[in-house]
Amino acid sequence: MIDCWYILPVRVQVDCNDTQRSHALSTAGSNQMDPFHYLHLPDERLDIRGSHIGIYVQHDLTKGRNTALSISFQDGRWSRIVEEPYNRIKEVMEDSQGHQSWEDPLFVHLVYLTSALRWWNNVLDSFNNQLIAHVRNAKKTYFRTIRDDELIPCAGKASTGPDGQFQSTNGRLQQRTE
Amino acid sequence: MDNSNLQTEDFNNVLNKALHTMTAHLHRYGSELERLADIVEHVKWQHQGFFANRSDKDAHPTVEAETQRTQLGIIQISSQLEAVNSFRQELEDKTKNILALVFLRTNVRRDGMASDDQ
Repeated sequence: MIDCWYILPVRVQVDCNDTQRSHALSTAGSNQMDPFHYLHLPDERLDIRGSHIGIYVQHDLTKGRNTALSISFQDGRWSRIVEEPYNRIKEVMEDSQGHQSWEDPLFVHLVYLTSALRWWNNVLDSFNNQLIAHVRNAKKTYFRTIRDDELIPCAGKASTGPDGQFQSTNGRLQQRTE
Repeated sequence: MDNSNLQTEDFNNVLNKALHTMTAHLHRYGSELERLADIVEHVKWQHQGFFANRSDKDAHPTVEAETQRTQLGIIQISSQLEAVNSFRQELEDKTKNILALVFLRTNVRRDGMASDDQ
């Protein structure tokens, strides 16, 4: 009789069209600094939600019987994601029943591990896209284009503008009148 | 004129907070992925110990083939996990870089000092 159990840390990405402000209304939403809570990616319109899946598998080698118990702590709102490993295992078992073939009892672990890994990969991918979006927004804010009658947003430069009309004083730009 | 400066400062604050939050989460992801690696090791060990080395009477060709298939699967998971780990590390470095940039921007403005390094 062999027992194997572990608690699998998972993070999934979930579509979220709420704004950052509406997130601040919930306890978890306003505590995003704490990695225990979820993380909202505004430009990707996603939430990264963390959770755990408890897995217990027992192998009875003498009788050739295997029992697997999985407890998912994930939120039922994204049930399609949550039920994915369960559906995969069901498929495997239905498939092998038809062919009367032998399945390595550790396939349960593989199903959960591969699902979890795929979720992790997607999460990091979206995280990356969000970082890129932040950089893009920063560039837009820091280097706004100049319109004729508008002052250049502060660039902290002590140099004159392209046509020599603007001058920086104390980090603030003023229009020099001639 | 003041308005746009204030807007940029607001933007900086918001971006700063967002980036710090992301850094905190990345750290947690790191420890969770470490945990995942330990679990994979444990499964690999258990499989090798109890299932990969069966006695002769159980050595049916299908069983052997399936066992090897599972073993390869576990190895593949390990290598994918390594890739995910390096990706996470890359993201952490990226986030730190962006934070440094924003920090530089914020400080240049607050001191009111001119800087030519933009």
